[in-house]
Amino acid sequence: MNGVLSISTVLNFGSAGLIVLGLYIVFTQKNLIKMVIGIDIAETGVNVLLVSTGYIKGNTAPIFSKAGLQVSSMVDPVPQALVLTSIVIGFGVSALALAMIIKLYEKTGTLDTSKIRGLKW
Amino acid sequence: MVNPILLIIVPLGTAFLISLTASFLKNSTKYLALLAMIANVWVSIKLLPEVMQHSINVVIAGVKPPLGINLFVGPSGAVFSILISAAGLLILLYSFKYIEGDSQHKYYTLFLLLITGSHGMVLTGDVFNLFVFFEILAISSYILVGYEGKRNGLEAAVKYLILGSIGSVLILVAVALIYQEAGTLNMADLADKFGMIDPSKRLMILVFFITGMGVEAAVFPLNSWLPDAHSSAPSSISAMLSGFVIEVALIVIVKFVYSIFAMTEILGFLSLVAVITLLVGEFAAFKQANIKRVLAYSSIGQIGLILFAMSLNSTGGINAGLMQIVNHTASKSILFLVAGFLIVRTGSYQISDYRGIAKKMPVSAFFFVIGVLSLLGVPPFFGFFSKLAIIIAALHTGSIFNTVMVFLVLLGTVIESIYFLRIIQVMYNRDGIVDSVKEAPFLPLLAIAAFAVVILAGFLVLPQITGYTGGVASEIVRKMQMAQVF
Amino acid sequence: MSIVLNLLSIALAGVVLNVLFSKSKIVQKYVSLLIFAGLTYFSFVMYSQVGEHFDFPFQIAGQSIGFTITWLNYYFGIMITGITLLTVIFSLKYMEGKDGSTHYYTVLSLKTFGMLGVIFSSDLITFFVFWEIMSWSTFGLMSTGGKDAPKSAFKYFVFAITASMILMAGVVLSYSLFGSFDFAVIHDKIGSLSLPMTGFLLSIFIVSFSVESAVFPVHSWLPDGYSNTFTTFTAYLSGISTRIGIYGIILFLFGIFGIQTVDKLSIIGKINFRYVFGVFAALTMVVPTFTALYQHDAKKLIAWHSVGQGGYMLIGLASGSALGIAGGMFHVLNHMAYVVLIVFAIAAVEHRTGTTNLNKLGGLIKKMPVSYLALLFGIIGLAGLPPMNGFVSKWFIYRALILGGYPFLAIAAVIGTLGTILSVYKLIHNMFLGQLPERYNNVKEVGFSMQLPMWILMIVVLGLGIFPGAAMGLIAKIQVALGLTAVPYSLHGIQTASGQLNMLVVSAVFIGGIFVTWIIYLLGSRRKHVSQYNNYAAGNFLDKKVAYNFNYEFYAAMEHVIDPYRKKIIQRTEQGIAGLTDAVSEYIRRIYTGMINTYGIYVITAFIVTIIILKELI
Repeated sequence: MNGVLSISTVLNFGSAGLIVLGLYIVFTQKNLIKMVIGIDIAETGVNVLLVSTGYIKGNTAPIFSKAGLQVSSMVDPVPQALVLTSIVIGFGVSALALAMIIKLYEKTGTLDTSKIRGLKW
Repeated sequence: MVNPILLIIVPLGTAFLISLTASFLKNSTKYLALLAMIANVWVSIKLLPEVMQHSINVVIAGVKPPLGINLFVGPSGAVFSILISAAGLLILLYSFKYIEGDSQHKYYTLFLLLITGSHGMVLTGDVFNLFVFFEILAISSYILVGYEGKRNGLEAAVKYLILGSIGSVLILVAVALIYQEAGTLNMADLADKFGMIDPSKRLMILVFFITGMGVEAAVFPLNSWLPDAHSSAPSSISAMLSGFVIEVALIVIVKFVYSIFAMTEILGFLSLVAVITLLVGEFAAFKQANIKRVLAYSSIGQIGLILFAMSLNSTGGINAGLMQIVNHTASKSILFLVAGFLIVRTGSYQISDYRGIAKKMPVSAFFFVIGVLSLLGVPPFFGFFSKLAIIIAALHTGSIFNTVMVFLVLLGTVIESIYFLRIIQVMYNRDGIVDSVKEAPFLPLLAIAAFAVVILAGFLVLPQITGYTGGVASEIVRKMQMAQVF
Repeated sequence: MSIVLNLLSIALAGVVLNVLFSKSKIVQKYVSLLIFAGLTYFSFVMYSQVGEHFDFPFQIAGQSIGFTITWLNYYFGIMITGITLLTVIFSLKYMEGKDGSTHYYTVLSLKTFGMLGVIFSSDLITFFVFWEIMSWSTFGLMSTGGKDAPKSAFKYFVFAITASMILMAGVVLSYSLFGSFDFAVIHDKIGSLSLPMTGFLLSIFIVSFSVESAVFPVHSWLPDGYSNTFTTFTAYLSGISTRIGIYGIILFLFGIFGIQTVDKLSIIGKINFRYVFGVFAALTMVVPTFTALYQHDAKKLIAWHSVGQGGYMLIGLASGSALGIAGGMFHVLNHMAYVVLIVFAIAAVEHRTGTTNLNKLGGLIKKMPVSYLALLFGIIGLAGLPPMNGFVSKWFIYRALILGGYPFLAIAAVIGTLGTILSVYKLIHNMFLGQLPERYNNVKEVGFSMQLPMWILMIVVLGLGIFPGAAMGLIAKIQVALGLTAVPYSLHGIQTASGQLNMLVVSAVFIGGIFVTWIIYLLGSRRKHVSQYNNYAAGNFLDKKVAYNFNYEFYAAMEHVIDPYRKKIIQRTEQGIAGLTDAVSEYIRRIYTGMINTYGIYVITAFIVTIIILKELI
């Protein structure tokens, strides 16, 4: 492709970027909600990475939607199944996190991690 | 033949059943949980002798590996299943009296999910499936840590959740890379193909995986959630988290390093990390005033000890590590469970408030002492034999490095004995300040006593135990092969 | 069934029965009495079974483990059971009405169980297991009795657990070097080990035992620990418990490593392993003995002496000659007899007056004559003067040091004895002589059950002094069994090429001297007995409020001489270590900042560092 980036490279770097960005948010933001957002971004990055592992250029979705489709012309279905699972898990974890943060906010009145340090040392 | 999948299906199904029936069974749902746990113990005990002969491979949904998901039950899976279900059953009995309030069904649902996740992690033969079970385990434990809805519990749960999520991101990256490079997710298949991957990629996969899993396995410095979570959770949950959850994550790491990735060259690094973990845990526990934080930090120390044994690159070392896991499960459960009622009865977490409590709660205090003695490795308790086995295995390697590490481990034990003895001395102080405190109820004491029997009688059945752990150890050091599975 | 198992099961039965009958004090007392009488009987008749071996029906790490009976452990066995029996007889009355008597008898049985197990073990595992039981029960013994007892017991525990861990390292190291735990197997293979490794291994064991036997730099747990507990425990602990450490040293130096191997461990010239060990022993003799001088508590004073006297035993062993080793071993027995006697006398006084504070006692000689006599016998033995037993063993030790060419160590021993004489004078003076405080006017002598053990020990102290051969026979057997040359002995002394000791003559001269003095005394001027206040000093009549004899803060000046150094060196080092541990733990705790962002950074740092390190490794 003489110099032009392939899609999988883009996806790989994109996912790495998302993960790093997400984790960066987790490490630097002191607001718990923002940290959850950071984790979500990182998870999205991983999901992109997962999808990209099964990508085969030019192939179709792994669904026998019309007659005559060959298995060999489909992309790998396994990563897609994995991604679905992972998205569901990620969704669940975010929902749980937000619920717990609300509860915590009720108790402490703050979302600032530097102020929520009742447990230390 | 009993189907090992029952170990996962029974608690999972019961968990849903409890949620469904909660509206009319109310708190009686706990008996459903009890039935599920008894069934689990029964299945796992039935499973063990079969598995010691040859490993069982269970194909799920009719699709054969490497494409389909399978359960691969070797000696390690069976032994850990027994550990999980037996400890789970006893802790469940304890919970009957310990957990109070109206919406107990939530507790038992999550309890069973935690058991499901733990079983799944040790039984599965598929990397992604491992991730899913890991998440089941992690999510249920996040909620359980904050179950009481108190400030500390919630804070710990949120911290645990955030770190756990980082860990699961790392694991998922490892899974994605594995699939990208090896094209398979089946563990046995992966073991066959892993050697062919480019070394730098191999390293990346390994590091992503062990740091991700290390968060749950409480390896320093990934364990910063542990002291908070283990100390703020309800004591029964602390007992589970310390008793087998971190060990399950640890054994997954060990299994991957030895039998799937077969990268034993990193073991030297792991044993160094292990000893650092041990020393950090013991030193951090040294000056704690909160009893559950002491126990939590001591769990870090013990995990360090177990990891040290397991990273000796010998069957003897893994064997010793497994014995130490059994010891830790029993003795740390005793300690957490006793601490639970100490806290309930006195309303305080501070050790100094337990002065003279041994007079009012003699049975609990007695079991506490037994737990401590075994944890410290005082003969003739089971802990002595496991610690002895660890040191023998370490010195048997004959390397100077390991000899130095052994002395550091013994230093850790000295520190550990000092802070535990301090607690015991406070509890047995003659001029007590504790008034009108009742002994813990019978059922919890029975559960604690059962754990105590394990460490007291452990040395009578030592040959049998080492027989099984030896089987596990030789399974772990051997590289997994696809041919084994079929 | 082996007689060792009999012994151990009887001792264990003692523990169980005491726990079961924890409510009934009467049952407890008499059951304990019966148990220890049984133990004493069985241990004395054991001599017919020396050489017997017993293996447990199970194995550890593929090694069979068990017990064996040798002359050495027979010797220690009868000492343990005998002295425990006497302690129990004495305690029957002493412990009446005291808080914690259930605990008392239970832990006493457990401790005896542990000690018997230690001495009869034939392999490192059994040894270690019982050693731990013994240490934990010593901790149990120390932690009751007084207000400060838990604190000092804790101090002991810190020392003991450190020593145990060192011992454990030694046990496993020997296993990995020799492939066996068995003493005999290790003894056979020790020669093939390289000398540095032998030295390292031996040092591990000796250091570990030094803690239990309170050798100089690691002795500081003993005085507080022993003096804060019940006085009878002080007797028991000083008399025999500490000496299990000596047993370990004898066993490893001579029984397992063997004197030939030990002598090969040379450092420079004459400075070899034994010599270094001897220097520590000499320090143990001198420093604690002079510290004992200025103690104002009788129990504490004796506790310091029991550190110091341990130095004599060790220096005898370190001399390496037949005479010195015999002296060291004999001194264990002698020390046990007289120190227990002394502490019993102190306990008797405490039983009647309620205090052991030397500044508050005095003049009890007429009120408690038997206790006085007991204390007198005991301190003569402690000071090492004829005709008591302490003289004989100390004579062996001095002689061995001089003949062996260790003049400095011999001088140290003499200096130590000087300090001993000074301090025991203080003991008897402040308790029994001088002015009787008004409040003790109605004090009576203790009852028969407390007098009996004192009489028995007085006979032993005097008897072994005049007829040392009674014990020397056994010691000679031990020496032969350990591959050493035995000292030629007769009933009343020894007979070697370099000189002889005939205690019959020595005692006759001594007793003759006393007799002559008594005659002169009787022939002297007529005496008149008056009240202690019918007296005057400096031209004034004395009344009840004035203390006219000097027994307050006796030897206080020594305190200013010695204490600063003791505080500077020992206490500061200990405090330093404790402070360091505290500081380290304080800093390490702070890793867990409580801030979730930091925790996340830890994870990612760990990730990166792992990659970097592993990249290098692979």
